[in-house]
Amino acid sequence: MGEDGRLQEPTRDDTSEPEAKRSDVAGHDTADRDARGRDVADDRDAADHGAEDRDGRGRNAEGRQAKNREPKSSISRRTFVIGVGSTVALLGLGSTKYLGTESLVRPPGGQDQTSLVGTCVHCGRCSEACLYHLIKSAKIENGIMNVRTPYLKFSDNYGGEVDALKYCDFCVESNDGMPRCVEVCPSSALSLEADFDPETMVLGVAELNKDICIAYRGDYCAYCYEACRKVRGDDKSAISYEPGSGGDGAPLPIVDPDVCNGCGACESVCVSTQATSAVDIHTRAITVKPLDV
Amino acid sequence: MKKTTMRHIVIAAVYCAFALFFIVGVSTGSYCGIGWSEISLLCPLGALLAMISNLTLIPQAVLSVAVAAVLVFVLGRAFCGWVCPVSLWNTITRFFTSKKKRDEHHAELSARDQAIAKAEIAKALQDRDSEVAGSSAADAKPTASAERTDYDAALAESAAGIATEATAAETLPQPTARKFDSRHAVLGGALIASLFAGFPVFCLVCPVGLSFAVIVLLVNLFGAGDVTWSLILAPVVLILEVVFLRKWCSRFCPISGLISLVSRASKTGMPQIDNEKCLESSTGVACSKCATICTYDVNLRHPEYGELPLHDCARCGDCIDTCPAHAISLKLVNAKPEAFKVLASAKEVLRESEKPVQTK
Repeated sequence: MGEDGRLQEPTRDDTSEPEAKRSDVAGHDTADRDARGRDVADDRDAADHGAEDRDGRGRNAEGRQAKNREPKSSISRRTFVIGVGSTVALLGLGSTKYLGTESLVRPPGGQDQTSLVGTCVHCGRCSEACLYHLIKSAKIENGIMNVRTPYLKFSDNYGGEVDALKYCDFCVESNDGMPRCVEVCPSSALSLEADFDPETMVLGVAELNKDICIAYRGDYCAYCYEACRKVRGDDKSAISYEPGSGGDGAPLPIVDPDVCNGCGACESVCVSTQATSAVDIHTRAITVKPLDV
Repeated sequence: MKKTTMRHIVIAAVYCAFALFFIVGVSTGSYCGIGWSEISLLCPLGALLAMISNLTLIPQAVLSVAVAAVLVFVLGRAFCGWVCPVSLWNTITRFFTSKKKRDEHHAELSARDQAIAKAEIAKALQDRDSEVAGSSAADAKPTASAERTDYDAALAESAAGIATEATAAETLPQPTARKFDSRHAVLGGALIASLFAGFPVFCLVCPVGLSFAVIVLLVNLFGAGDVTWSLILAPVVLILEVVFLRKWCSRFCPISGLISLVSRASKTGMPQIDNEKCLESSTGVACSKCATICTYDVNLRHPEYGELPLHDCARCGDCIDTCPAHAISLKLVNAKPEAFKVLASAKEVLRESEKPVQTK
């Protein structure tokens, strides 16, 4: 890297393509090539700056003797290269928005995912504030734009704990009905209207995978049904049991999508992965899906 | 304890505190957003990017920027020197550089700064020479002139030596400290990118954010068995930035670019040179060790020749620890900076070429 500290700066043509300096912005080469179109406009700027520069140097002979303490031009070649390079790289990163992002189950107040992703500064406060440790940071597999934005993970526990259910209750009892995550979010990425009602708020919809649900595979299992009844009450439960064609006529759980609010109690209690009735160890038989999927 | 040691301890302590609170569940946040209960402050850059992404004014974000501005007005760029983890990573990276390379690099910087110092000293002497000549012509006291003769002779000799080649003003190096530098260009790029993309793009690669993200990823790996490509990607991007963009703090960081927009108004807590003690001003010997050692590329003795201007001082204390004459101290409120000059009381003025150059 050139050092501007040297006393005599060799004369250089500022309009030349700064190829050698691309290595300054390591790891973003593809972005540079993608956004090549922008370089044309920037080269015109370079020509202007070059002219400015030469004027500055032309003036400088007298300037130095007049004790001129200002640098010879307001923008140095290195500044220009770094500025253009980084803008191009960041625009390249930003254009991942065209790849689209995975829709995730978001904490309360984050259901408008475009707004959430646009405003979240990835501080992690919501994650820390959640009493049930339900909020996690999304990973790169969820999409570049989603990285480190919050989502709800209900399966981060051992299933079957009906007495210690983990689900989002909007902090109704623990924080006077104001979800902690919304309260602590510094950029209002998670934000709720003043008149929001935890009774009617919906985070997502539970979806039952009949291929791995134990009940559908021929054994009696009622964990999700129990959990939903416990959380929502018998009359407002979203999971019902229908006598069905499961093995020996065992009853089968059915989710009513119009009633389900996506609280996640069913997913957190599902024992399918423990009973090795699963394709991978992370995905349970009943999972909460976001609304717009 | 040296200030350098102190500040590294503070940086490490803040980092560990954030990590610990995250693990234990005390909701204090991270560098990106810190707070207690419903009171929180954003990183000012994050605040601007969040607002630009959605083209909305967010009250807490506006407040965060205002609070940050006040803090910078009072503390200048102290965040960089005392809180930002990238400072710590840079120090660790230097630790991995071979001693030979470190010494070479130091010698290179030292040579640059001493050349600047010599030129500036020569010019200052010439300025004073013309002052002295002017005043002694008007001075009608014969007694004082005898004492001054030797001294004047030495002055004239050194000034003449330089004058034979060119006037001192013409041999002055080009000032390099600019009002705006590449960091501001990156800042502009980050703002433009967020406007275009509709989300805070820079936050994805911000090394400060990534430093905390590594903690989160590790905690989730060991606490919940979360295996993800992010676990490799986050530290790799961080390491690439620290190793390849090794002048991150001086040339790339948009946060420091943002800070420097306000820190130019800050006149508090900055190191100040006591001209009576400083080797350059009191004896005319080129030294500039404060400039060579400065982690943030400020030249305290000859500010216009630093890579960054004086207001980018991060209060790191390297110059204070390193000055051989202990001439530098932190001042609560700094006096208006004056042009460098060699004091009239300097007894020894040595020809620069004769004085052995002492490197670290």
